Amino acid sequence: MQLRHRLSNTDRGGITVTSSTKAVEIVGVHKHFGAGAHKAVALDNINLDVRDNEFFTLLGPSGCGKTTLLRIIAGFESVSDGDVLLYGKRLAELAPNKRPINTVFQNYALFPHFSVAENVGFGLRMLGKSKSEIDDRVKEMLRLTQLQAMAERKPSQLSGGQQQRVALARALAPAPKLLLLDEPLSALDLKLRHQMRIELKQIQQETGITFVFVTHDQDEALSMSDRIAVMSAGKLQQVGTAEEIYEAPRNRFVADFIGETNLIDADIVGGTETHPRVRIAGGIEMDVAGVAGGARSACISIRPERITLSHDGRLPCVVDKLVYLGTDTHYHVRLGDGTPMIVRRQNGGSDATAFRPGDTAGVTFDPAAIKVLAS
Amino acid sequence: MAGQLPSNDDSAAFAPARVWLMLPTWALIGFFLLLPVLLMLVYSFLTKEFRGGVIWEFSLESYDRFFLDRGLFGDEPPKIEWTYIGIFWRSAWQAGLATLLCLLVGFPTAWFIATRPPQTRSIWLFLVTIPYWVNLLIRTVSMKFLIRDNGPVNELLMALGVLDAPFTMINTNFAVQLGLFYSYLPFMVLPIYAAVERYNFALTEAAADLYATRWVTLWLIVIPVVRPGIIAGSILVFVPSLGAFLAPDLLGGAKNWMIGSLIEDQFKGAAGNWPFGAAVAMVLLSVVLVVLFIYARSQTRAGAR
Ligand SMILES: Nc1ncnc2c1ncn2[C@@H]1O[C@H](COP(=O)(O)OP(=O)(O)OP(=O)(O)O)[C@@H](O)[C@H]1O
Ligand SMILES: [Mg+2]
Repeated sequence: MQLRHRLSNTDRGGITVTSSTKAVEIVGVHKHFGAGAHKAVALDNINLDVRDNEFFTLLGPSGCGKTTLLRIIAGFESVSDGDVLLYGKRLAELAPNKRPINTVFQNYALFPHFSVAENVGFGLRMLGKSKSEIDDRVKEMLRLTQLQAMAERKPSQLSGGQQQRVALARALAPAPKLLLLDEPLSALDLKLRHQMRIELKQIQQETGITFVFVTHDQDEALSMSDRIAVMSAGKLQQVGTAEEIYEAPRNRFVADFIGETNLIDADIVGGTETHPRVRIAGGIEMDVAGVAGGARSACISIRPERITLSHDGRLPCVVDKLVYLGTDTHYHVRLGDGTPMIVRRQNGGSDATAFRPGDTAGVTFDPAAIKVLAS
Repeated sequence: MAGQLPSNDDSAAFAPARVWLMLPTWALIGFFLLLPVLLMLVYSFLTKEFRGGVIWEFSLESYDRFFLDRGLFGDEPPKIEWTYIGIFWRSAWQAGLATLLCLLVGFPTAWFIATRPPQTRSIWLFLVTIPYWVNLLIRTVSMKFLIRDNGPVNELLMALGVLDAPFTMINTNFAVQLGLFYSYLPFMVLPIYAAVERYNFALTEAAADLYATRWVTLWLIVIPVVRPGIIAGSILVFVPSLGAFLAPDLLGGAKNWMIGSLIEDQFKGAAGNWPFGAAVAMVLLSVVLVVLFIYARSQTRAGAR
């Protein structure tokens, strides 16, 4: 908290933190590369706000434009159309080295001829801080990232995880208004990745710096973010908290991309605009929440953990195969009309009735677990 | 040799084969490198024969002549002979200046080529090496014709009204510089190109991200990272410039002799003196080796840090 106070007093590039809660505003941003027949659209009308002190994540599959958006914010790429504002100030006029933004690069981009301490102090040196101030701040950053023992080493003498932390310390040292992180954890092994998730989140909360974090890993996004923007093919699909995105996906892409789900085609047979009545395989009809928009058919989503498999289940099915996953088991089943479904059951429960492939059983689910998706 | 390698059974079994495989390399180095140098070393300690040959008799006379001045009859107390050291000194700074010029022009050129799209880079590299399809002697003579008082360069400048009278370039240090620069520029461009091509441009973005201006980025990040290429290029230009004789002979005239011309004259000229030429060559070789040794030391120290 002491750190946070000190950081919020900084002011660079003529940008002062106002009472506005918007750290970044991205307004109608388009970006294409090339021209004519080779024209490739990387970003298509992106509109979003990042709030002050927020851990904001851009999530999407490879090639959806996450890095491009990040590079536009950092100033390494120009927009084809639209505007980017930082605390209300247009960024287009500011060169990258004038923006109070720091980046943790995907491949770290550490200066190979500088020691860890020199790397971390570089930004402050460029800002013309005094030697003693730089030394103090570097020490503080190395402590924060647990790199005190590495201060004199060269980047080539560090492990991947250590390099990643140097990149983080280097970007944090100048106390930027905004920190951009481009898949910083992707090169780490699973265990280190989990540990770094917690550390990153902790550092974000301690420093109060606004983070924009890029990843294609949904677990990473769900576990760290205050809010998530899901992107696909250069378009923004949905923005919301982890819970909103997981529990109330707005469309088929988001439901499919975030977590595991069963996507089933259904007919809309009545009900109201906001509470349509759907008929799914086997002729079962139920009233569910969601916007049908007057369509005759829709796609519905049911999470595997919201379905129960039992001998007296409502919809008869046949068990196809089991996938054992440690804490739970996935049952791949087929409904009467052949619709496949995945059911998740926790292992070791008292009611654990074993099902074998080929067994007949039944699935039951609460209509509240069903989401009707815009396709 | 084999003992320095990890000694498992396999490598021990292959050790004799490895010795045989190394033989052509050693033969080549021995025959074309060590033997000629050794021959020069021996010659530099022999006695001069009147008609240009040598007498097989040990003598320190050549080194004596290079370094010491014993007066006209050889009976005065020895003083330091400055004539040849002076030529040496001029050669060193001419070569140093040529290296600096090549660096100033070669670095941006190499940078330009390395930042073109990959398909067009080879075209630029080819253009840089095109002059090398023509013999150096012919190129140097052509240069002489270009820059003489009534050559095309002066004619053009006078026709344009820039000059009233021809600007004398031939037989000046400027002409020697021009010749050296033109001869060895590609030796600077190519190694720097190789280094810049490997340069990770994300480092430049990282520097800008951390508030560095373009010039500061060039000075603090780019140049230190591509330093091995710069040093390699500088050595490749400096060393042959130091021993060059075509450019100083043809463009510099008699006043602007360099060490290469001196050596050439001892072997080729009418008043040839093989032992003395060999001695000058040995001094030159020693200086070059010292320079390279200092460089190698600084490299290993930088590596150990
Ligand atoms: N300099 C460029 N020239 C041409 N096309 C580009 C350029 N940079 C990116 N693109 C294209 O823009 C699209 C978005 O690229 P971007 O790097 O932003 O994806 P990403 O979401 O970061 O993907 P990943 O997760 O693989 O890093 C891709 O289709 C890519 O091919
Ligand atoms: Mg990317």
